[in-house]
Amino acid sequence: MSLSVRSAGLIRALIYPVQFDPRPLDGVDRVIDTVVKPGSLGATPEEYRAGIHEALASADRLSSLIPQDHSEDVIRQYLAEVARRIEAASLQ
Amino acid sequence: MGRSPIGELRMSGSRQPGVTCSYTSPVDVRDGTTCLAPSPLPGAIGHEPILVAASGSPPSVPRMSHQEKMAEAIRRAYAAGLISREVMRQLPGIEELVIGIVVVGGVLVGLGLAAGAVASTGVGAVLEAIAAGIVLALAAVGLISSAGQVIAGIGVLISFYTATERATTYRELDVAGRDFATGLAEVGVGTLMMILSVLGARQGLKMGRGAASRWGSASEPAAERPLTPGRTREESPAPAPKPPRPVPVKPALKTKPMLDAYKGEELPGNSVWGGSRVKYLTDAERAAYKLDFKDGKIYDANGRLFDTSAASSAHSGGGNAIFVMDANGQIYASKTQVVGEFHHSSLAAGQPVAAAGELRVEQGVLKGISDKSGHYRPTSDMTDQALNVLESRGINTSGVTKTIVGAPPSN
Repeated sequence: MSLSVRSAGLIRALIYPVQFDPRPLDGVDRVIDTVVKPGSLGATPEEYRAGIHEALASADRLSSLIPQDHSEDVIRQYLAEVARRIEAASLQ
Repeated sequence: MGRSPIGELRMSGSRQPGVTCSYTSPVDVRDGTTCLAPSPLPGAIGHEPILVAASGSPPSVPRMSHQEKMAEAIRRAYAAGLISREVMRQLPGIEELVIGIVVVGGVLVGLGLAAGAVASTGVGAVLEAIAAGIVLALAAVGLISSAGQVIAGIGVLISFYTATERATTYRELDVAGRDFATGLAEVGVGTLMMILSVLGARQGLKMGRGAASRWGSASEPAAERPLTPGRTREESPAPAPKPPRPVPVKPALKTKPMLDAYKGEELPGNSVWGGSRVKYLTDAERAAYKLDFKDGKIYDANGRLFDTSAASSAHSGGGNAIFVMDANGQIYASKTQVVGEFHHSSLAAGQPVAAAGELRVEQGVLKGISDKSGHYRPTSDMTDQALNVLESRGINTSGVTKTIVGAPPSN
């Protein structure tokens, strides 16, 4: 199943800030603080979490949603960690 | 002896009889150029279509940048026959000409000079001094002009700069273009280009000081002046030898366009950010983000020492502002970056940039610079461009931390 336009936008917002990080996992805290918590794109943490799950379940190439250099595996690991942190921090 | 435009056979419009599909003034398309010059449509001899936007329909004037409005006004004046082909050949490309007018017009307006005041007899000492310097520069290359003529040329530039800045309709652009054409005919290409060269050079614009001699002067041949409303043959000065072809003027700085992936992000209903629109600043709004440089320190648009301690960027977090530098070396910075709402593209309104990234500044002192911009992904040499501009404005860059993530230039 293909990613919805809305979820694709949310995933772009999560990937965008870490595109230059050598290890995107190191940028999770920054993304939680600057994208998820403030509700960028008008989305709640729950919407971000749901968007990540939709993205991880899709066959879409998530690493190609924006021009960046990280591999598909690295991006998926990073997104999974963001979702885990949202759930763990009860940000929903 | 130059040919009189009155005695010259002309069809309707300004085109001379000839091959229907020939087109002698193509627009040079490169980074940042928003309009293309298509082959002319088949039609009656004497018809030369107005250049149209690449998208097929022209953009609305309020959505154009100031530079785009200037370029459009000049193109339309040319298409309407108000600027002759010969005069266009003496000018640099429209893009270069517009950059020159943006820089010099901004300086003149910044000096508090208004077109009305310039046109009056009570011009100030600042203007007198500027005019005297340009007269000397013209004399140095063997061209004779008067302070009055130079002041008239400055008035033309200011009028065109302000009229196009305010224009919100094509009709207003046409009026601005007509007035520019009239002024250009009256003061001469050489004088106008010398004004741009002398004043532009003070702002770092690379337009050679001696170039006016190649563009002709205030006494350019009458045949090379277009017929414009209110101008008669009797007003034409004695013809002078035809000047050689102008040497092309290169853009001041190398620029790179925004990545295609983000195009349309400012439009309602765009799919880039899942429905969120990115703010693109207007020229007037952008002024509030412009950095100034004085006594080796960086200041914001309000004259306060620039400091990024409380700033935050998406890529590096706290302590970093985002910045862009335009083709003229003007630098704009924002202390906030909001994903999907405000980016480097906001500062540049999606236009090409000469540099983009992040700045770390403490009380006006530059501490760090990076090229982290997801929208532009600058090549590594573009940050060097920014550092060179900063150095030219008195900023000490020797101890600055430089973080480069971009690829080297491909050429």
